[in-house]
Amino acid sequence: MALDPAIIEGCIMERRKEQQMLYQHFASPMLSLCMRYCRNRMEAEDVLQEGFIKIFRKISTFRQSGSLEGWVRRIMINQAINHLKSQKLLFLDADPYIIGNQIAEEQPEEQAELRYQPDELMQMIQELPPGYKVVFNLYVFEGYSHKEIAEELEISENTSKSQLSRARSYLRRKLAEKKRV
Amino acid sequence: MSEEKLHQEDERLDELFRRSLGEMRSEPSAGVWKKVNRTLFRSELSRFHFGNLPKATWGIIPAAVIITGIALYFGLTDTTVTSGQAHKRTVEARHASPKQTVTGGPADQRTSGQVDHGKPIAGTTAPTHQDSISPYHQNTIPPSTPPYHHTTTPPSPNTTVTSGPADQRTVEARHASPKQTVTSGQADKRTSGQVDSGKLAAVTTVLTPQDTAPPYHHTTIPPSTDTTAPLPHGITRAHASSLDIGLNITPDMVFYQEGSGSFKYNYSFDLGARYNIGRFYIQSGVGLMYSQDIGNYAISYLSNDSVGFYYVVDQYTIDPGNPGVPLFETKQVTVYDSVQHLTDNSTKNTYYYIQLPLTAGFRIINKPLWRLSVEAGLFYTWLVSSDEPAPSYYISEGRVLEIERESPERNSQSLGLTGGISVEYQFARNFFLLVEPTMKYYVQAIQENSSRGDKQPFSIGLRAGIWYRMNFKNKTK
Repeated sequence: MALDPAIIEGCIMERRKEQQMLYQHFASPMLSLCMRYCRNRMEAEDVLQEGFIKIFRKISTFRQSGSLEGWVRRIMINQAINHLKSQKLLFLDADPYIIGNQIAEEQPEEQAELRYQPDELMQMIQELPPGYKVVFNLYVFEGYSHKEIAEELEISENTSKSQLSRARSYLRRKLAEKKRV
Repeated sequence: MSEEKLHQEDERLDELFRRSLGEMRSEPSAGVWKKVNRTLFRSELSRFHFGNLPKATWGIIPAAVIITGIALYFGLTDTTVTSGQAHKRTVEARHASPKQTVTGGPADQRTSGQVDHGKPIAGTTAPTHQDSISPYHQNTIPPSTPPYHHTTTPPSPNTTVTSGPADQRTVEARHASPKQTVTSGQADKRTSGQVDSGKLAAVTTVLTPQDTAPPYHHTTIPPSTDTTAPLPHGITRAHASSLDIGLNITPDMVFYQEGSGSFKYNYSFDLGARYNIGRFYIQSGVGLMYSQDIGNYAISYLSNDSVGFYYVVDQYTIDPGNPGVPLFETKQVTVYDSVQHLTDNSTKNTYYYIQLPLTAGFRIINKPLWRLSVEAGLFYTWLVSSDEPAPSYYISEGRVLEIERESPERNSQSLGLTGGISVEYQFARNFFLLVEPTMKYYVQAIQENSSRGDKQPFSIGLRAGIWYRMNFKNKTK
């Protein structure tokens, strides 16, 4: 659903009514986005709050020829990453206990995927180590390439690839555990 | 498992999550918008900056303050009680010729109406000897209320006497159409009207000494009783000259235009002294201000990104058992391949300043029990002590490259403008409480390496304290 340009104009003029309308328009999808980067809902709401404050402060810089949703999304992602960095959670180092090849045989069947509820999958992502989580989110949901991820996080492409691989392995293991249950 | 199949499995996994969570929506709690709203409000408030005001404002504001002060001073003169300028009464008695004006003196002036003495007023008293000895018809008002010699005048149906709580008396007597109106009250402002005594046949008014206004051309004017009205027990009137000394505490909210958009708290303790001259005062003192900042640091470090390690030969020796065979001593070197950044904002910087203010004030309202004043002036701050702890961080594996301080340095000295509206409540003979909303604007920078708004913040505070008054003269009780 497209947003009325008058709302954007109102936000640029710092009118609270339009700001609230913009918030209501994007709050739900952006909270889901934030939850994928955070450990729990409460933390995600903090990121959402800071993200919207940044949006309202910077909205005058938004070029209306582009997609507002893309712009809002981008700010939320950056806010989430900055949050992880500020909380000293974003260590993109190796986890020696997760080796993708070791659990290759535990990959779930395609039919079994249907049994997973979105909340369960969300929880699995939230339980990922922060480094895996960020790379997985950027790659899978935002469609970033490893090069773009490397630039965003100031890491090497190889690191991005290895983090993604470990994230997938971790998730496969979690899916397999769920399946067994 | 072949690489292609592994790739397909990866795609399938990605698609599972993308499909399930890509369009997911979660409704945030209501408190999120409230917090956003509150933060935006603070941000808007903090963007207010004196530097943004038009230049004309800097002339308009002081002019408005001065004009308002003057207007209030004269407007409130007759309704407030202060020594040195109690009552003003002017008596104008217009004769056919010459014009006579009688003024009761600086401490007691009354205004009466105009009296046409060209024709005598029946029943009125002739001028007393005091009239004749005063070259400009100005008389010193005796301290006691004199009985008016003319308290009994012949009755007249055209005479109206009105008494009430107000303090005006108007007497009009026109001989063409005899009429006299007297309005009397308790307070101390009296105005009489015009009297055409030549045509007034008879005016009868019975007036008590206290209630009676000296009509028109009467030169004997009783003093105001307000200056000697009893005050509540133990309360002293304002004095022409006195010195106040007080201890105060002031929490301040300091607003920064740029940066976080929030405010910080400062706390000040001060010993103040005021020298009062009438309604004006000059204030100074010495204060100790406590200020706190969050120490922001950006830490850049090289992290171990599972790239691995290698061994480097540290030194070697020839195996004594096998001549010509070297024995290598190596050490492990970790490979760092990416720069990471941490931000640390866990430390708190504390600063102590000595503050020296110099302000001038004016008491707009000067009641025996409470007073309201406006004041403005300068203050000087001097940084005497600071504590800035080193950043606190933890890096599991890595090597610190650089620690950059993001919180600005504090300057050692600063100058600012201050203003406030103080309310004083006299709760004992010489003691009063002071509550004063204050505002400060830092003209000189207090911080370095930051934007203009951070350099020159403004603060809003509430000064509260207990004061002691030492009177020098004109003490009345």
